[in-house]
Amino acid sequence: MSRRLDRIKDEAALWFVRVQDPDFAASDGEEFASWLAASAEHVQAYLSVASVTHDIREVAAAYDVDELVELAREAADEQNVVALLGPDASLALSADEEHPGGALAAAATAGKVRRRRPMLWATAAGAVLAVVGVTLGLLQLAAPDPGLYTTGVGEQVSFPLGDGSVVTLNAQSTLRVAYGDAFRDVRLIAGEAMFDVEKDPNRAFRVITDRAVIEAIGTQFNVRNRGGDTTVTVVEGIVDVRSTPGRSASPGAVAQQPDAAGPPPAALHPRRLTVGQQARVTGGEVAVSEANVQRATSWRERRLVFEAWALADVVAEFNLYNDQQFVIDDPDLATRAISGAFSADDRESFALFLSEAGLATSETLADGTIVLSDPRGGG
Amino acid sequence: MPSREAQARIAQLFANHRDRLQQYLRARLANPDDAAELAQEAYLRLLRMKRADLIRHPQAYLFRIAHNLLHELYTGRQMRLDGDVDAGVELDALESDVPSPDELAVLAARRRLVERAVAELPAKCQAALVLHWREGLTQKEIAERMNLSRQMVQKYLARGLAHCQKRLRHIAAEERGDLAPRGEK
Repeated sequence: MSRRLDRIKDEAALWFVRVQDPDFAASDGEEFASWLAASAEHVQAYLSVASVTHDIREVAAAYDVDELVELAREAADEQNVVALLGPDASLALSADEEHPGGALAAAATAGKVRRRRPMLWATAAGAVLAVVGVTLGLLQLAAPDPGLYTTGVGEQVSFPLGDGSVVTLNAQSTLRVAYGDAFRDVRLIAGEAMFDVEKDPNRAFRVITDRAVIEAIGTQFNVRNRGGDTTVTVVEGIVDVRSTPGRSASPGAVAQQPDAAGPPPAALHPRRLTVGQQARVTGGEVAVSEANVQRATSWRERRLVFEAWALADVVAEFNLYNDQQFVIDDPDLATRAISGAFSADDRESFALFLSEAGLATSETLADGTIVLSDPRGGG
Repeated sequence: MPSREAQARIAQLFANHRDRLQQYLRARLANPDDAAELAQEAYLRLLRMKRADLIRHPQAYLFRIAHNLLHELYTGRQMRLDGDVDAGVELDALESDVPSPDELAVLAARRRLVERAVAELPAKCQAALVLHWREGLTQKEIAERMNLSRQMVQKYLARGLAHCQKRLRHIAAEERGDLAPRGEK
């Protein structure tokens, strides 16, 4: 939890510094706006980071600049040895988090190391992505499969795709991006993501899950692929949803395919969704209904909203965000319906809610696991 | 939605008053609960903005939203976000807003914490921070002076900011927990 907040602060600080640069490009403004709009926590972190600069200016007055620059030069020379012996100097940006001065040393000295660094930044489309990912250890950019993104427990991340579209990936989710000349394909292998799609009439934007193919031209929609169902909620614009019966896409199988793009599998029953509609794809069926858009997208503010959900499903949702897990020790209790809105990171308040409402009692084990039991005892 | 001229004016005003705005925010955001509430409301307003406007001047608009919120909070007057109001008048009002004794105490405490946080940073980071925030060097100039890439300069500046900010947060958490003050030597 606090590691996640630290990471957001790191991102906020990097954005703040980049925005200050007179060469900050208009195209970066879009990425920055997307980052800001990803969650209230991002906004708070940015405002806080901005507010600290005044303190720094006051404090900085006490330092002797020339002496400091000299010290910094010496520091670079010392730590250079460490940096060059590191496993991979080109990834030293991440090592730098643990070893202050290490990466910097690599940049400041041997020309060959220095030349490698700009390459990391120069890959125009992926530049910011790569840096955020490598620096903050946020995205797992495995070298052999650069289009694969995975988030861990409680992690949410927002990032731009090459065409200006923006993806926000919820906790414990995996997606794979495959863009070509005639298509923009994203496979949501598991989990949940919100897509803000840039219009491109020549290249359809498709989100593919093991159950459905969702096609959009320029729009904003949420896709949830959990528990064997795919649920699509349209926030803006129009999307087409087709089911893909009989297709099994285990995460491993998809991840191993070098060309996961290609044409989507044959699909039946295309259904057109407009703003405020939701499609739930279970098996081969596409069921369309009116959606509560706010509820479907509340995860981006790390809010969990439930309306008559089974306790087992509610608990599974909380467990996406927290290392310490809830368990239910009673099968009857697991089916009990729960309604309410909670902070995804605040397990304690949820446990308190359950006990005050007389729905369940809770006990916290030494490892942090919270065991929920029937308050009427018995089993 | 704001006209192009209004946008340009807001961006310019923001550039002129940024320091003061940040100082103002700094005093008001000292209470973590207020800060969270303000950020939440700012976020909701941000989402309601036209995307093109936000993209053109994201930072200027965010600060403007935050400023309007603070203003509303203290005057109870609802303001419009769309740029029709005269931003100059608001910012003038802001300038005459002197921090209260409580706020001054908070600011002094912050300053001590930031002092300590800066002292903890590696020399490279310190040098970049001082060159930028005190000497007013641009990132490019710092890169030349320290023989670093621009990206590394950005990274060091960001690291310094983030570190100070994290230190402030830890302290805020301690104070809320009513813990005894840590050895302020």
